[in-house]
Amino acid sequence: MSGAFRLAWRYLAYHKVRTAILILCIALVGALPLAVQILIARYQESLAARAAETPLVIGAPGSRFDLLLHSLYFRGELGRKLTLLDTEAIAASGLAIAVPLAIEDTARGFPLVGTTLDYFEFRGLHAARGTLPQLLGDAVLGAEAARSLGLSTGDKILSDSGKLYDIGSTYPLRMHVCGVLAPRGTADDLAVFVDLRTAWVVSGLGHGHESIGADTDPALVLTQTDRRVTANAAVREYTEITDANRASFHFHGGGAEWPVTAVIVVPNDAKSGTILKARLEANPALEPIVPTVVLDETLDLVFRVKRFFDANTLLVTVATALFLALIVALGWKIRERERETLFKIGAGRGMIVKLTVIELGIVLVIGGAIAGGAVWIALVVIGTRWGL
Amino acid sequence: MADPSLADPSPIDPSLAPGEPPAIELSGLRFAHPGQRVPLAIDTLSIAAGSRTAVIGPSGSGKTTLLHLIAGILVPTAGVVRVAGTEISCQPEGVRRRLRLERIGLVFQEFELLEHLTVRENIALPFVIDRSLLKGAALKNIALDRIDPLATRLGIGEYLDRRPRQLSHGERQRVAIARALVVGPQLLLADEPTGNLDPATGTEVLDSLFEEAARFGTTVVMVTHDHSLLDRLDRTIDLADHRESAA
Repeated sequence: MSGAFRLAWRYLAYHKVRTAILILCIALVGALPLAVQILIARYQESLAARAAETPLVIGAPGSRFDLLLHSLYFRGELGRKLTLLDTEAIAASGLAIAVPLAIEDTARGFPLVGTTLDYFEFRGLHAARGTLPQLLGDAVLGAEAARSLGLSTGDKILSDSGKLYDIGSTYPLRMHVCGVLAPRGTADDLAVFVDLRTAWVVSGLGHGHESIGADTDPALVLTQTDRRVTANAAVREYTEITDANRASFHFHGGGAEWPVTAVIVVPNDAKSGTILKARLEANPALEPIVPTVVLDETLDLVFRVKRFFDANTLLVTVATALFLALIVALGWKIRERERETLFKIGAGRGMIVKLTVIELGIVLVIGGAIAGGAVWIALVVIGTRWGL
Repeated sequence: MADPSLADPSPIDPSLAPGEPPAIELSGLRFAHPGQRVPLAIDTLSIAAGSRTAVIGPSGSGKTTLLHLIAGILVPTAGVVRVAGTEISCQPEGVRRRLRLERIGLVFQEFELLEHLTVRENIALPFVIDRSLLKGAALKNIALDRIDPLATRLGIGEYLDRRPRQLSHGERQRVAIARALVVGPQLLLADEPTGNLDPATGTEVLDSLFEEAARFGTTVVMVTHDHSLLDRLDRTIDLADHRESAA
């Protein structure tokens, strides 16, 4: 260890609190803007990548931004919905694959995404453990959702009751975790996927209950005629779909009443895409969006705000750098006598300058390392939580 | 432009082997700080090797300046300063610094110890500043062979791991003396070493200083305001009237 380094280290070690504060200041000033910049850049990349791999999305007329967020990132509710018939119509055109999404509920805080197996194929998702949902009542968890909830294959997950004080609303459905998806670093990691019909059961459009017929216990019957038996409220409605009661689950109404919140459309080729888009745009009941176009509009707005944030960050960084320079200058002044002593004893002016530079260097390096570590932790923690 | 202090110092007169009694010779010395009307002026002055010399005079008469000129901290505006036969006033800063480090010990009124170092580290400071003084030895060995015995003789052997702040003024000055003597200098320049001490402690510290200086054969030049100390020194130089007197 050189003399200057030894002296610098001893000085910093002696003034522990002062040094720690200085290091923390440097770490914070370095870490905050760096973490924010990296996270924003990653977020932008993540948004853009998901949008780029989704060619076309159809929703009911309304906010294009809401439709984008809803269909790609499972965020927010849409005021108007499509029906299963709309999905079937697109599929029937033979020009594209239509992947329906029904996202109206949540399960333990994570969005409950009702869809078909085509979705998993389209997104390239596969089960790291277990299987994809095959039966009514099956749920496959996104990797981060599973990790966060501590659930795995064979466990149960309860849908959230969205209408706690509505005694007429459906009970939460207890679903069987049939698998956990491999992590992808996208919004899929933070969702619970079920079959479309399971999503409708959770929404109250389908249900299962004890069978009612001519031989039903009279205690469960409200009215009975030759053609019709009406059950009373004593009939037990199932809150979990099991092998034993799966057959009793049924849906009232038809495809025109079963809601789909958005449809991801994957054209067979560019020509099919153009034809389909023209047809869809001509239909006033549908709102087709190209995700990359809508995302660019959204990001343009967001990043206009970010420019102000960047300017603010720059000013704060410059102000902090000036404060640090002031601290260094004051420190230099306060320690003038110490430097003079070293010089009188026989230290060269160069060594004295070197001593100061090393002290500053140690503080900057440690501060920088802490900043780097903090940024890394932030990226891991926040990135995992946000799917970045 | 390269800092001359960083350059390898030119060799000091090889005829001056360590331990050889130094002599101080001043001739035609003139020095004035910026704005100073009456410069320090000493036509001739010679201090014998191994002697103990006091420098007295009223405030502002140039006592500390004289010590700094002898130590090569300041360079005279005119005249010659020779230490141990080497003219240092014409040497570049790197050489003067090296000479100071190897052959001149300095003791200050305010002790000037580094608070962030332990007593042992303060005493070892010259070796930390320039590791070539170790002559290949490990600092740990220097501490065992030289620093610890010196500190023990000066009565601060028990405090080697303490910080200067934990010591009394008298003990701090002993640490400063140990730091000045640890390299075995030919010349010890002390600027009012007892100025911050009570008379009894001052006497004890001075006893230790003289005893250790005698052990190393070191010439002592001491600035003092305390005239009661003069009879303990061989010679007095009064800068007020440039009068010299023998004790």
